[in-house]
This record gives sequence, C-alpha cells and structure tokens, in this order.
Amino acid sequence: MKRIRPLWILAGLGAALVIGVLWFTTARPVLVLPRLSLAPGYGLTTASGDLFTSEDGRGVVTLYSFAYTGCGERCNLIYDKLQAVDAALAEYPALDPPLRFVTLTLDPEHDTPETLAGFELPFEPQAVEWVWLTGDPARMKLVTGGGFEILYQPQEDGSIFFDPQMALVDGNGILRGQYEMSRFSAESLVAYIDYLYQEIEQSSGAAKLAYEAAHFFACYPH
Amino acid sequence: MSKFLKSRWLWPVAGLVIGLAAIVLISLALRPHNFSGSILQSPQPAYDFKLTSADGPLALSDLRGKVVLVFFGYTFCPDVCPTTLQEMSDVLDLMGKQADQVQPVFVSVDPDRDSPQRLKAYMNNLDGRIVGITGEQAVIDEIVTHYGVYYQKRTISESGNYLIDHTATTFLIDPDGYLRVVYPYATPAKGIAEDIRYILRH
Repeated sequence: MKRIRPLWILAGLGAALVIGVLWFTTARPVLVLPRLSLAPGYGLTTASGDLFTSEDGRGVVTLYSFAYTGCGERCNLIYDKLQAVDAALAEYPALDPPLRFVTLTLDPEHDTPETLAGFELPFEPQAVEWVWLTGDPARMKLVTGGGFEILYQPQEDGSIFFDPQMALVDGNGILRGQYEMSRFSAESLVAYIDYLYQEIEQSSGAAKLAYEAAHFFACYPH
Repeated sequence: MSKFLKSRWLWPVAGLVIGLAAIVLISLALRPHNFSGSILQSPQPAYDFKLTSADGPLALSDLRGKVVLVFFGYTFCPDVCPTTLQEMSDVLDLMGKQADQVQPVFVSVDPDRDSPQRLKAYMNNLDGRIVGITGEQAVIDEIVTHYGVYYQKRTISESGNYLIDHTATTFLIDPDGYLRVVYPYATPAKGIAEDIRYILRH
C-alpha cells in the first residue's frame, strides 16, 4: 500500500475547506435578508386615537408603506401589492411571529386620527393586521423622511409627490429590506417575507451557524 | 510501542490526527462569533451626533478608534437606567486592561432636568468612566429617531413630576463608527464584554 504523507492530508483538508467556502458562496444554499440598519423609533397615533410606538413592533414583523388617504388611484400600486401579499400570506399557516402592515401617512395635516377613522381601507386584510399612523407633521417628517429616507414633496394642487416604497422590519426593529414599488412585484415581496420567516424559524442551534455564514458571505436574494 | 513506531501506519495515523486537529482549529477560528445581541451589517456608519458633556461638546465621531456603548435614558429614571449603567460599569471591569478602548455614553433624553453638570455628578456616583451627554430636545428627537428609540414623558403627579417611558436597548458602535450590535435590556455584561473583545480582535 502506498504511504500517504501527512502534508497531503493537510493539503486535502485545506482544499476541502476552500471548496466548501466556494460552494457555499456560489451555490448559496441559505439565503438571508441583509440586516441594513435600525428602523426609526417613534410614538404616533392610530385611527382610534391610541398611542402606537416602535416598541409595539417588538416581536412582530412589520411591512411599512407610505401613503395618504387623499392619494386616490395613485396609491393603488401600493394597495394592490399589499392585497396580493395579504392574499398569499392567508394561504400560510398562522404566522409566528405575526406580521403587521403599518402605513405612515404622508399628509398628517389632513390625515388626523378622525380622518383615518373615516377612511375606508381599500381592502380588508385576511392574514394580517393593518394599522395607519399619523402624528405631528414635524415628527412624521422625521420618521418618514429622516428615518425611512422616503422622499416626498407636497404639490401646489394639494397632492403629494413621492416615490412609493415599502420597508420590511424584523421583530428586533432592524430594517431588512426597502423596496421601490415600481421595481418589486408582490411575488418578490412575498418571497422576501418568506426568507425572513425561514431565518426566524430555523436560525437556532447548528443551523444558526449556516445563517450567520450566509450573512457573513452576503448571501442575499437577487 | 517500538513496534508501532516502526509500523507503516504511524505516519498516516499521525497525519490524520494532526489534520483533524487542524480542521477543528480552523473551524473554531472561522466559526461566526455568537453575539449576545442583534447584529447589524449596515453599509453606512452609525448616525453621527454632537451633544454636550460637562467637559464640553462631544460628537460620536470624536470617539472613533474605540468601541462605544450608547444608551438613552435620564437620571431620574428609577430602575432601567441605573441597572444598565451598572452593567456598562461591569463591562468595563470585565475588559480589564482593554477598558480604555471602550467608551460608554449615556444620552439623556430629559434635557430639562439633566444638565451636563448633573449628568457628570450622576455618573461619578455610578462610574466616572461613563460619559453623560445631552442637548436640545429637537436634536435629541432627531438622534433617537435614527437609533430606533422611542421616548415619551408620562406625568405622575399634579405638581408636574414625570417619568419617561423609553426604549432600553444598548447600542455597540465599533472603532470604525459602524453600529454593529443592539442589546436588549438586561443583556449580561459578560456577553457584551466577549463581543467587544471579538470586535477589537477583528
């Protein structure tokens, strides 16, 4: 029998390690959403006049959107996608942790709690809770413009120019994705939510190492 | 024994043992550190701010080169703030000689009552290595929004005394100014100290 030199064994193990890392980064068996930044902190008001804070989002996955009640058909792009996401999630078993839609108004001067209470939601969600929030205009600007970095500008005709986006925030208050509505379909939003729930459900014990490796090697969905 | 030493199996077996030991060591070295809080990988440095301590203005960016632990609270805080500050003090003790590479910062969200001088006196009673800073309410509002912190005054007596409900997380900012870890309230000091040692090593 031919003698195997220890150096070759070491070289083989080293090569196996390198091949393993290369395989992990190219085959990407585990995909994760990036942990981008902290979602903004706030204390705002619901349609029923109750205080709702960023702390209420602890332990809940939140899909933020930005709109206003007088938006009309221009916001259908947002509502249609929210409805499609809700319909897809209704097919899932009960979500744990729960998922909540939160819409921050871009027009707090008009969208008072009373206005929000009288606003008929474009659809009745089946799988999630949907909360609209308003507040002091300066505070709203700080949260929406400063925190979520949403650009919006009131126009002379009373409408508001803005770039429709959604933001996905995990139960630790960490922003995991921000999506321009013109570029992302409802199917892709559902897929991103799915990745987040997979990580929440599976990232424990030995599997946590694989998820942390996926974060380390930036194995993000395209 | 001598028969085994002369055996043709000696080198393959020894090589295999050494190889396995090597792979275990490499795996341990490459193993992701198990942080005690939520990890962030923001491509942007942490939101910079400039507030006032008793010794003058202090910006977060002035502390580059050190690990910074930031906590938002107020000195009239009955329980959460003293507990967290005590943990920060414990972290510094656990860091030993590396404590000078760590700077805990306490940001008061109650500038009406917490002057920089009051903050310094309060810190000196707890641990003089912790810096207390504050500033104008509007500036603080902007900072807390960027750090995901909520706070709200709650009046508790007719004379106007109030408490402040506030987020009780602690933020770890690395020596390059990036927010790396967010710790929930009551994270053990030992875990935070281990995280800091890991960050200082890498």
